[in-house]
Amino acid sequence: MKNKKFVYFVLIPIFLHMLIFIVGPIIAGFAISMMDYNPLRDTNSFVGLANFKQLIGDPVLMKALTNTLMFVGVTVVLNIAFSLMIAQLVSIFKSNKIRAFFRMAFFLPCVAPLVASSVVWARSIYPTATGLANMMLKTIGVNPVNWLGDPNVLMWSIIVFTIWVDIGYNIILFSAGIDGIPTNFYEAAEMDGASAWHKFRFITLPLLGRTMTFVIIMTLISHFQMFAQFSVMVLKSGPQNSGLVLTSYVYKMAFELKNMGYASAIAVLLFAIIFIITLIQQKIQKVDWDY
Amino acid sequence: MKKLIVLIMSMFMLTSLVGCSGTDTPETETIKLTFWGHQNEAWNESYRAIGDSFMADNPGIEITFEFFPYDQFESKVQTSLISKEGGADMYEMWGGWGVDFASTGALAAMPDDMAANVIDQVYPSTIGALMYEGKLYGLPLEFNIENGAMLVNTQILKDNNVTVPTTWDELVSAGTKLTKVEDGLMVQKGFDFVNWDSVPYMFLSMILSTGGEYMDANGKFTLQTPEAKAALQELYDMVVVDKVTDLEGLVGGGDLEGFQQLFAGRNAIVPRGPWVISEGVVSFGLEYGVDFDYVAMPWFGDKAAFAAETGWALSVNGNSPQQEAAYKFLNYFYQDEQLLAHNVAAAQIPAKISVAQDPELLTLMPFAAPLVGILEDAQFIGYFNTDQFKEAVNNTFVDLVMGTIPSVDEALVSLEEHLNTNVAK
Repeated sequence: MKNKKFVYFVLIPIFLHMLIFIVGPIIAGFAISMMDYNPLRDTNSFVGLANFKQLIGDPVLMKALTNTLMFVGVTVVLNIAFSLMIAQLVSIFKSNKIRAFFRMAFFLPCVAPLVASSVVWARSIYPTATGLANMMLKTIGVNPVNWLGDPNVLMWSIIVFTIWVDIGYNIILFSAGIDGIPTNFYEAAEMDGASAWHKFRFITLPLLGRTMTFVIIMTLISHFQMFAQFSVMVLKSGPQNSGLVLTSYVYKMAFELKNMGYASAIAVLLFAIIFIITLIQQKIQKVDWDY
Repeated sequence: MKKLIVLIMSMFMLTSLVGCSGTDTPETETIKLTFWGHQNEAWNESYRAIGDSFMADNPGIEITFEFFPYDQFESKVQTSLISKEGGADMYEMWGGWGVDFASTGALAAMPDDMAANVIDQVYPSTIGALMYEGKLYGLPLEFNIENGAMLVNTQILKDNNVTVPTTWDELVSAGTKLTKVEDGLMVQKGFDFVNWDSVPYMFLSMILSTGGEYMDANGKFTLQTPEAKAALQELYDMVVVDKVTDLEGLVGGGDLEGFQQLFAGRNAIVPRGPWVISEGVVSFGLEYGVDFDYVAMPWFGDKAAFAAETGWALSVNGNSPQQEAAYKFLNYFYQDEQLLAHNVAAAQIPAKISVAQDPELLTLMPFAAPLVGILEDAQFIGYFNTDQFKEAVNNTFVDLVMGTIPSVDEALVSLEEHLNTNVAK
């Protein structure tokens, strides 16, 4: 009994913190989404679901939603595939030092501030006339690509950058997960004549279940909320809104157009999407937590 | 022992009561003001210098200057005005924000006598967005002008035997001649007018200079006119037919803005406001009048006419407890001597007529010459959110050039409808 009281007592500060800085703002966001809210006005009127009705008929929102789903769908799948593949390749090395070196090398982009990396790519790698990417293409006789100015290419450019900048974190997680798999499974498989692919498919992949669940959920949530690269690398919203995602639309509505009620409604929509996808993903991927 | 403690406590209480009573010699209270602006070395130095001079003349007032990175500044100002208890007493205010802030009571109206003077003594476009229900909510510092003059890279023109164009046809012709394409890539743009400000301002100027209007008396946009059609068609032709530039300035993909590419030797002619000149000198190490020049831009039509939005101003927080002192500083700032010094330091065209017409201005700021002469030809752009207006015009232009909108007529119909639904007040 005393222990329980002590535990509750110790947890009070963190719960208070969550209540004030996480739960409170979420509830406030819901409330604002039902108002015609300009923070500079003394009074703001309650409009019920009018902001949500406006969502349905807003073609720019549909474009932002489509862009967001495409970005998240493609980037998360590729991110997880590449990071798992690289983690597996790194784990082949017997030397701990070599493994540590490669993990550090892949993790470096994660350490740099996302805004700084975005600026470097936008100003040095992607520019059409002077960028490194087109210089390299020129050496192999390929015509320059308008990486950030062509509506058909822009989102793919952002996807490539995002994979580069984010993959290191998942590589570390998968590496830790792979290292945690008991080696006797692989020894037994080798004795049975299993190939590298078979070992990966029937041992590594299933036993990475809990790591995979965590990686997918965290990657999905973080990618839905990504904003920095869209803010820095995309000029305004991109040609024909091809670089507009839900987070940048929320920012635009709230701080450029001062329509915080509608911005909050979009944020509620984003919250609902992330919530539903996370629930579905958890349902599909029920994990056996024991080896 | 108890008695001693009681005695000591009593003495403490007496001492504190004495401390609370009025003193024989009243202290002079210093009024403390805060001023917020955005980071710009030359501008910040000028504010501080004028502040120091004011404080020397007004020892009872102390001003603290705080400056923030530009891209955070608007949200900083907005957030502080919302909080009502925090923030600054005085703000450097972009005129366009005045449209949003003035109507909510977040800003303090200028005293009537000072306002009457200011209204009478400045160019109308410099206060348009700061006026609300007959009251003035900011002191205009500059005449914001993105029209009427253009940067010229003198070396590029010289290398191609092209003289500075003085008519519209010469401008288009020079633009075509000075554009260079390699492997399908425009490596040098002859007349790079495609940027967030120049496209909408040129569009309006082209309508006005051919005798047209873009708004009716009720504030509704009217763009289905021969003048608007001619203007948009010309802008389209310059990109698609004459190929004087491409859409990079609006769609992205460049490493530098158009005027910066001119300073880097990659663009020949770029229309921009005079604020870019200091960047050419300071950041690119160029010499004004030698490496680049700033010349008058030819008018599209027969008339010298353009629209201007309200530029940088100084405003007082509506919740500041020191509004009187704040306006005292603004009034001091408004004197010709201070304004001239500030406008020169900040490379701004003056909002105050007497300062703009002061011969010393051109001595100190020779690049202002092509602009000072046309200030009288300006009209206030209109009481609406100019960011939304520019976005609408630019998006329509991009869609038209990219072929998403098939014709100029359809572009104008779509643009007019959007502006009247979402932008017109």
